[in-house]
Amino acid sequence: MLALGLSLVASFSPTSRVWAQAAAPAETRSAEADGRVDSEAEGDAGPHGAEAPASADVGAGTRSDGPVGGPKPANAERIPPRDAAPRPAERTPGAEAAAGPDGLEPGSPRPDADASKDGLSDARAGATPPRVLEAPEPDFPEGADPAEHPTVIVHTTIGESGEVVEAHVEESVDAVFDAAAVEAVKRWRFAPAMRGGEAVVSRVRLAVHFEPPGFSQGASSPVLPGPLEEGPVTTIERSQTAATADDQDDDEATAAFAATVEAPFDHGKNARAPSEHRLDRKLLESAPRREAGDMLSSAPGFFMSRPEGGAVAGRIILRGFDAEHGQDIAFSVDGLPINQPSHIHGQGYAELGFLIPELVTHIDVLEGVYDPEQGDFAVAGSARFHLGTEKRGLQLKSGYGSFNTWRHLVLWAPEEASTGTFAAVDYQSTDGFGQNRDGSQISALLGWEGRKGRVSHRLRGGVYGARYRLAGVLRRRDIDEGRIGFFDSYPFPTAENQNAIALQAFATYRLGLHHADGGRSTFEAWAAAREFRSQQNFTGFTQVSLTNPDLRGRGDLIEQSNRQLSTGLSAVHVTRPYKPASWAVGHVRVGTDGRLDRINQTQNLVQAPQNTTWDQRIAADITGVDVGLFGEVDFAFFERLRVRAGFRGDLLLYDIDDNLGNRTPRFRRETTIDGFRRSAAGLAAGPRLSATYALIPGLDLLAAYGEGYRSPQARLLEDGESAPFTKVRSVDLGVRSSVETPIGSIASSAGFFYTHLSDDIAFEAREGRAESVGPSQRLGAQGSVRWEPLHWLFTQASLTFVRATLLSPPPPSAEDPDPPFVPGQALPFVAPWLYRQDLGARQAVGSWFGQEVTAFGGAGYTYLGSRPLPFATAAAPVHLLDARAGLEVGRVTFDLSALNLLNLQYAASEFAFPSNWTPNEQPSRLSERHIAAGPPLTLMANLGVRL
Amino acid sequence: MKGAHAYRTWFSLFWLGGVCGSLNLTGGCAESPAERITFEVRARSEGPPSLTQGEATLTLTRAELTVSGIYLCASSTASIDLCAEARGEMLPAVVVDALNPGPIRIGEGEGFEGRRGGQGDRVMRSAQLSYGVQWLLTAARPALAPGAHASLHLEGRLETPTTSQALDWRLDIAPSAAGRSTGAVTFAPAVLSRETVLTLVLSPSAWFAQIDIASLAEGDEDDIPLEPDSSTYSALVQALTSSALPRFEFHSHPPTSAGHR
Repeated sequence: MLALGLSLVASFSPTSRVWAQAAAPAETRSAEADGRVDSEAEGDAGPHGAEAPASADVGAGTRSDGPVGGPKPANAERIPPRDAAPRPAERTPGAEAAAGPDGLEPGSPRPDADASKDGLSDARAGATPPRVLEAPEPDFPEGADPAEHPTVIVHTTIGESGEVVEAHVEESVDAVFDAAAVEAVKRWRFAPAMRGGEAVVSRVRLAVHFEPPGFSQGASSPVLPGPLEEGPVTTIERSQTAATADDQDDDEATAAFAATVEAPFDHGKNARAPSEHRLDRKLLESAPRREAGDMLSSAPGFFMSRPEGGAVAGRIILRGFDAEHGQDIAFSVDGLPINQPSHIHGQGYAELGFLIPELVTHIDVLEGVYDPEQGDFAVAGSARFHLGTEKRGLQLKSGYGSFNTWRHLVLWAPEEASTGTFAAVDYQSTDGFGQNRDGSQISALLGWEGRKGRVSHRLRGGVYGARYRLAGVLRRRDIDEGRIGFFDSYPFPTAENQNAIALQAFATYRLGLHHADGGRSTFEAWAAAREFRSQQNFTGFTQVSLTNPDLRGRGDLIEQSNRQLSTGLSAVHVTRPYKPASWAVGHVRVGTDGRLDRINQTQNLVQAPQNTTWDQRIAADITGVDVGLFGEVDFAFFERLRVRAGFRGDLLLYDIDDNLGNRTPRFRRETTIDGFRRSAAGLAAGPRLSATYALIPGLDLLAAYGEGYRSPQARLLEDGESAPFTKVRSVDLGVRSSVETPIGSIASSAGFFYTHLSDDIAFEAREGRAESVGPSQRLGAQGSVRWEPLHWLFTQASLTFVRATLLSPPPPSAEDPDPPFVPGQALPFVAPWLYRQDLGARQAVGSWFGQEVTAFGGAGYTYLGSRPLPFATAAAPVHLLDARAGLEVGRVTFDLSALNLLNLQYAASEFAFPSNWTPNEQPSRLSERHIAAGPPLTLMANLGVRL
Repeated sequence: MKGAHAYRTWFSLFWLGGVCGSLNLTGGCAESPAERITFEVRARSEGPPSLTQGEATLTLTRAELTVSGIYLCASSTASIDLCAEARGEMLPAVVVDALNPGPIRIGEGEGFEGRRGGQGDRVMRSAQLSYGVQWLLTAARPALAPGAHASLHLEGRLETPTTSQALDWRLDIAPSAAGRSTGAVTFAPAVLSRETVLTLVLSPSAWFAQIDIASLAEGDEDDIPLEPDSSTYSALVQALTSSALPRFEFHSHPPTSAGHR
């Protein structure tokens, strides 16, 4: 007997068009979720694992569109997704679903739906989830507090005949409501889940929502702006007033449901800007990825690479920002801030190498600064990774590929636990795709989530280590003239000894409280210890010792070391919903977060191969504190307009012990000692505003304005200086739409954006770090489209254009008292054009020895336009095509991936600066183009088994 | 409802089309970057080839100055620390006839095109050069640049009342004496273009301005004291590297005749 464990999500707004859009993500989630056969299912359900083909059918063909009272779609057989954003495929435990508003299980076929009309045969569907036939209202317990509006999550097993064979509380409220919820669910009646034309046992999670007698969830009670959730939670609540499809039409049924859909960056209705996106599991696993960080390449406007090599954080481009190693983007992983302030290798240094791709359920991206929770480094935007896995049980996976690359993964996810509970170890080693690129890394990640009643807990922890040799950069002219190979490294010890090591451990804990009045609070604590050491030579032989000028020509091998211990706390409270008038409803969110960083950093010149130090450049101890306070009023008006007005302020304090400051001349050694101790503080504050207006069904207008900041490199502060911040002001204007067409569902977003920075920074090769270049701005436009023409096929494309310009000359210096500047000159390293297209397919194709065979594949194409470089040069455009294909037979999965399928030689990054790699010739001091080679065609074969 | 769907579909497509159209328009505004260019480097001599002090006259019959490693810098005081990144340069060592009133072409430099705007663009203010010296970062001491025989080779004639006849003499200034490079040669702010001609203006007679040439003939008639440890030799080195540096002239257009404009 097959058993299906289904995670269903659907949502509807009872009244508001605005909120009806917000509900869309939930429904779209159901599309992915529906087809997912849970390995915890009874019997032999397991092998069909991840995404059963029923998913797209469900998402595309089961629900009618339209808000309450709105026009009923003519093609009710097909369900238009209501959100323009990508569809998340996996959820946290809270993101489970309940019955649909029309009495159907969300994502399940309508009773009257004729699949063949849509060209969707049973065979294509593969499996169909159960659907609700009858769903009597839950009874509000006598004697219960009328002020309570609880929701109980009930784990329900549905038999082959559609009866509820078992129901137990998964998320409890209290005994009274728990019992009432179970009692209600047991009275519900379903059409059973189907596979291969046969009824099978299935499991669903149902959210039973209680309202006291007399409380209507009807048209006059719009869905509230959702309270802060613990992650991407979507909960569909089946209220007492729910009716079945038998006694209500779709619209009336819709009115019977309340949706609580919220995540800080949830998309669809909750999107603050057209630039807010969610990268769901379906999208993330469509194209092959070198690492988890590469997943962001599927987000509009993002380009990810790791040009310096393993163990050195990747380089990121986003909407006209060369974010270097993370200086312009705030990264977090389940509440753990990733950016490291005042890191020696780059402000906001963000190492994502510890992430295990299989554990990333989705990524929420907000481009721009519009959420009060966005703090330091949210200059171009922010990206939040969410961890978990819906594939339960023990997974073993090994891969081998080009350049003697190995990857081994052990992932254990207890079947009885939630998706956020897991343990995984990922080991990789490689010889590298050229000289001096070999290395290895290991990452262990742990997660646990639990919930009892109104209290939830989440733990995360991890340990990561990576050590790679680095090839460094090459002068373009040397390559073009045949003096060195594209993937080579300069044949000097000072180049061949380049390497990096990254070590880190972290732990986070979050406590969530769901208040009886509908409010919610979260408290979070985290700690991370991170160490980084690199030895890199960008310039060859140009350096002269500052300590002893007689020392020179020993190679510019810069050794950077950064040891950082960071701890932080945060608390957020979302009030109960307020409804001051029939046409207005909303809530208030307030919160605070703070962190303390203790940093020890050094920078020396070392002489290879003995690594003897021949000059000291930096030796500093820094303590930094950042405390932020934020709040936001979030209200909906007239069921069409949603306005969020927020504010955030941060106070940052620094204590710097610059051990090499006030460097003394040699002739005064007797009377002076090096060192410069100082402290500084500064306040950064600004508003965060956004508005969404439902113009017509399926089309929202969005506008957002926000002011954010980037903290300074502490070591560059003067004593008592009012810490200067890079102030950012950003504006986004655009639309989001979702339409159902005869050729499939199409979700899109488009808009214009403008960003102004008070003080930008750019890479300085001689010091191997970023330096100030003055104020800048970005003006651009962006559009993205997701099209799902068939239930097993989808594609997503995005195009970004941006004109990034410098607004005034860089700060003058003795070396350059009048820095080059032409009004309107393009910022270096920033590509004006970026195009990305993802394609994914997954379909059951038959069976083999009784095991279902599923074929899957995907591709990702990136075009990065020509990038302007300093001093009159420009980098060549980059074309990258990645593809993968595989088969899943029962519990065994095999796939073959090809990265850079066209095997094009490209520069992962380009720089322009003087260098001298011909130490026996008169050195040129002119700026030269340098490149870091991107990987060539890389094949990888992977074999996985689930036990 | 199909009509509504179609409307929304077309609205979306229209929107995206508008965005793409806007992108194309704005993309056309992108600034084209300046380019790396080459420019001509010339040299000429100014002033008479002879110097008279009282009744003593020193006449140069040959003056070959080796110039190497010219770096044009943004800083007003070019040095290795303040000119790690140059805006123009000429690296090969060339031997210049310092007595030729020219100008004569001595080589070709490379650099980045600059423009004079409201706030300047790639403006150069000073230069650093050396006289046939190549002191690599990886070397412990300076060496002669390829193609150079001496930093400065001089031949001349000395006539004084104390000598019965004119004395011919010759002198080589060694690279080790000339040092790594000169001090900063400052000039009026300039930018490079394809039409730029950089002219080094040499004043050989100025090299002897601080030398008492009459005293040169006080000794043995056949032994003019020009050894490296002599005061005359030191004064010449001082003049070459500091007090009598070449002048740098920039012309935005090539001279139309043999002479410079």
